[in-house]
Amino acid sequence: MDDNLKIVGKRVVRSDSYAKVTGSALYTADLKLPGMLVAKVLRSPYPHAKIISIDVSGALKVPGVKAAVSGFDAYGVKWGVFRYTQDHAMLPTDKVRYIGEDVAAVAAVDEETALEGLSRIKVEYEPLDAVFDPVESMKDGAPQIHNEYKNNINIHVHIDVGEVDKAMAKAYLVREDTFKAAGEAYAMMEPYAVVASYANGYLDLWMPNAGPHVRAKALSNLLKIPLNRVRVRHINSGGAFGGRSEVAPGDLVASLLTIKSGRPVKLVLSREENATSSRQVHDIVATVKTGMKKDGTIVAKDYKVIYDGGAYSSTGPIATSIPFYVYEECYRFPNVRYNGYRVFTNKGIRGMYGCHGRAFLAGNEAQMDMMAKELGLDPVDVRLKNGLTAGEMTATKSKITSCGLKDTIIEASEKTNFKKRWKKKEKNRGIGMGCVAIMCGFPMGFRSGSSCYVKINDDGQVTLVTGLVDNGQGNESMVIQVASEVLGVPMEDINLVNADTEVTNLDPGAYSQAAAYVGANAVKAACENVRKRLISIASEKLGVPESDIDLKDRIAYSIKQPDKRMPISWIAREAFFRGEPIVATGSFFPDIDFEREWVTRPWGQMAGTFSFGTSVAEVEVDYETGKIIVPRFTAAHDCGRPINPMAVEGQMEGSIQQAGIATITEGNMWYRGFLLNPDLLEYKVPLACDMPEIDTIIVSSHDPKGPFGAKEGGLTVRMNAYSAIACAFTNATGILFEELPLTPDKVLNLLEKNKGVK
Amino acid sequence: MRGFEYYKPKTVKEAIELMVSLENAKFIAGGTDIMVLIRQKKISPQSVVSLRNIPELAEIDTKDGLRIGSCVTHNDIDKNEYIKKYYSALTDATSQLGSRQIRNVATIGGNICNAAPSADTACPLLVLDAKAVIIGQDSSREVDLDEFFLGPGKTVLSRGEILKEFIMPRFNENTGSSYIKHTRREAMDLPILGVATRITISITSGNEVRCRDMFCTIDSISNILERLKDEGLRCEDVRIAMGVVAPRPIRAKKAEAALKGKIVTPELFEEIGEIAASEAQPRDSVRGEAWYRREMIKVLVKRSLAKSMDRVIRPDEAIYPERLW
Ligand SMILES: Cc1cc2nc3c(=O)[nH]c(=O)nc-3n(C[C@H](O)[C@H](O)[C@H](O)COP(=O)(O)OP(=O)(O)OC[C@H]3O[C@@H](n4cnc5c(N)ncnc54)[C@H](O)[C@@H]3O)c2cc1C
Repeated sequence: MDDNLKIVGKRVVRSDSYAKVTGSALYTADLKLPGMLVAKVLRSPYPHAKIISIDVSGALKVPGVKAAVSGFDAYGVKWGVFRYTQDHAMLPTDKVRYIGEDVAAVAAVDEETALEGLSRIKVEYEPLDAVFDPVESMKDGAPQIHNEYKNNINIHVHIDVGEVDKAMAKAYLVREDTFKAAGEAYAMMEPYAVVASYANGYLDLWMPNAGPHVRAKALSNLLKIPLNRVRVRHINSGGAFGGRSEVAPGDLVASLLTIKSGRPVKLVLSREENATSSRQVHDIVATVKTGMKKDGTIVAKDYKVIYDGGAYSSTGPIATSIPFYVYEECYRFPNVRYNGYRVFTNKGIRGMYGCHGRAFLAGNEAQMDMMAKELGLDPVDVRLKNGLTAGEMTATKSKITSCGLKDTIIEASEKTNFKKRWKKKEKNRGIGMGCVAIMCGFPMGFRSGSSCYVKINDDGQVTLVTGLVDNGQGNESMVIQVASEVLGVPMEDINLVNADTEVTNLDPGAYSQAAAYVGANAVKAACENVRKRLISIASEKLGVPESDIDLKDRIAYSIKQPDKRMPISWIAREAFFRGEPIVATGSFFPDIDFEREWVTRPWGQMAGTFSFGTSVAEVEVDYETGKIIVPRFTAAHDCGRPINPMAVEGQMEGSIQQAGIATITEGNMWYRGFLLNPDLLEYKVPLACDMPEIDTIIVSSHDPKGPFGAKEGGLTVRMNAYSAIACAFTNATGILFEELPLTPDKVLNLLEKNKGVK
Repeated sequence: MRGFEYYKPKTVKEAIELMVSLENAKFIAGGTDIMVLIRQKKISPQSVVSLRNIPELAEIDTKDGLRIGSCVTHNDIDKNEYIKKYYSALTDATSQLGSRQIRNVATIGGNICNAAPSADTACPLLVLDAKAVIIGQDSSREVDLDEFFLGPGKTVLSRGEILKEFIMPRFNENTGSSYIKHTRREAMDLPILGVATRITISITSGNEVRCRDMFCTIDSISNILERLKDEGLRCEDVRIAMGVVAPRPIRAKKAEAALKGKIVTPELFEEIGEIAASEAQPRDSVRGEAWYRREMIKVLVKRSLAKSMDRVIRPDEAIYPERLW
């Protein structure tokens, strides 16, 4: 069936487009429930302080305030993704650890009353010494942020494969450089919002989330309510990029307030609160040491990477590992050592990001080009020489099943005439290439798989029920398209019921690149089971063998005698008559080594498959002002088979913005624990007019296990776009970047420092 | 955000009377500055008096020089071909101010009365010798724009006074002006630095400038000027204004004096940049550090002067040369 696809692989309009472009799609902040209250949160003004007392009684005296809570109203449970990282109370009672931390909250009849209530809450603090720089924080004598973690080291990931020191000593060329990058803001279009409604012992919640099931479980723990009484429901999400993966402090706040007041509660964060108090991206300092043979073969890598982890653990072990893995999944490292430290500081809570680890990845790639130049080699050849191929193992023992890396490198470089332009560069201009791989899913225990339930209604229309969630990337439309292909009904005949924890089953969520590979595979499996039942009845009714029947345009028909046909709706009715309605489930569980653990056992199969990509950026540097202009950007992505090429291209284009252009514009700025640019005026998200000419190249590599050969749609570009820009900058100026973003002042400084370099 | 009373007077007189009689009231034009301040709780007026329904404030008159009503929107200025040709610096500013949505409602009067050091129309108006026409309860006065700003957010307007319009003279034929807004994004950004210049030149060699087209090339200014050297271009009159380098938009008067009457050379431009930089007192801010701003003054003063000259030398060519800067 694969080679004769009717709708998979076609450029279809996404099922959610119409509602979104007409503005009729509803988001959390749009919800209105009868009697709903407005919540506001009192936040810590200190980066680090002991809480002596919190008195909310003043707020309750304000007419119209219906509930007021602090951490003393919670259950003393702390959140952490792993058992060994449970350190985040969400509403602290011991001390505050960052400016903007949630301390208390009120729910009132309107916003003005809620604000009045907040002003009556009395909190007594005893300020403590604070630390803001991770390197300082690791030193003896630095203020201790959590008692449990010595020297504020939250996580240490240590990987050591082969004999790094020996290989380094024998290498022809060795180079060591240190690269820094400021953390970024997720800057989702939708600031965080949550609606919580508690009645009769049941809690209903709506919020933008990238994994309803993990969210419900976390809240069930935090609130000590059984899982089936915490229902995270479906709603549109205005962007996640990694920042909506974990339970948020606002979820706990709104839940406590609705439980206390007995009325629905809505909390909507301001743009600034979204930046200071939802999640942030890790600032990184990466030291990269590489040993190469004369022919450009990488013989050893030695890394020390420090992640500024902010105040709590969050996804710590994962965040500390991912940049390394996406790189080792791309290139062959016979000897490699990685020391990743995630260190606490008195800054906001941090999470995973779609473009996680830019200092590390861009540093590696730009350094590779410097070494290639020194050896008289070409960056394209060096990448092809070191790039992994299908059938190989990564350094930490993940097998690569399908791999289009080579094709992405070749196609992107040919399209841009890369080799020639890199070598004979024009004045002020540069061209650069970045490569990376991405795991499609990663170990999440029993939550790594997905399952789907399908029913055919009596009019032949289809209902799909799956835990899969969509944060704007098009996952919903994708599974509808997959179901449409298998069932032979148009996409508009399919209704999707998804991401509602009381109705749907576990799913890994939309933050580990698993939606296509795992979620859509489960949908496909369920639909294939339904298809078998449809065909079996049709075969009986039409009197032709099952193998002769296909489904198309709502019809089951004989391939050999096409006039033998019947509508799918008749088959559904026949099934109802027989007392065996057409329903089926299907599931998919990826081939992952579940012994693998981020800290204690960092080896074994990471994911079912990996996607690959190559980005090429062209830049112009204004030597007088330090401004970098990006006239053109080319990205080639091996996504397996694109289910909807238009959606894949959209993801690639978005990634060029969010990772590529952001290399020169985006970065959080701090002063002693104050976020200086929490708004969108001073935090420079690139705009449409800042975008280059874009060329997107989809490289199809049929994945043996992906649904119709699909893997993942676009994340490689998000992970390698800044490498391309950094490399292009190096090509233009002969200088390695030191710190991202490459703002004009930093560029001017670099040019000044390196005067005479060519 | 706190609520407030909203008034919609139909005449300037009515607006002034309201403003005098109401407690803690503020004028509102496009609202794109004032609403931000209210949300940030920097001000909390009890009443706002809208100027949007007063037709005489929204007029552009080009009969004798240029008169622009205070409530003319940036988009109205942007669309005006006459302004684009003869007061180009102003169009440079309005075409890049905020975004289309902002330009549709935000006004030039609001931009100036808000008196931000970064106000984009301030430098162009300064170099175009604009005067502000101010109407009070029973008086009116004309103030040079250079006298209008007192500090960040502070102007000479007193309570009850309204800024009616700006008036600008007609300039000599060989005059060009430009504004360069130095930003990190192409839109929705406030300048790290803004520089406007206006220059009137005469060609002392008497001939038509031979190398007109060199401005079309992407070449460094010093190279362009080097070739223009033989043409004997003399600066007859010049204005240079800078934004975000002091508590208010300022003129670089020493640099102006050093250029006026001289033949244009690369060395001279270099010197003018240095002098202008010495007249500034830039600060460190989130948007840019002082040292960077100072360096950029040197670059942008040169570039803006070159761009203004380009508009004299190639009046019929694209008013916005497609070049690196
Ligand atoms: C998203 C965004 C982007 C922006 N981008 C830019 C930019 O790129 N460059 C830039 O310079 N600015 C920018 N601004 C600021 C603002 O849009 C401009 O300053 C605008 O011109 C203000 O005009 P307004 O009519 O909206 O003023 P308002 O907010 O209505 O008024 C501003 C102030 O002037 C007073 N006022 C207004 N008219 C009069 C009058 N006739 N007489 C006396 N007092 C008066 C008001 O009382 C108030 O104090 C931006 C603002 C936003 C929200």
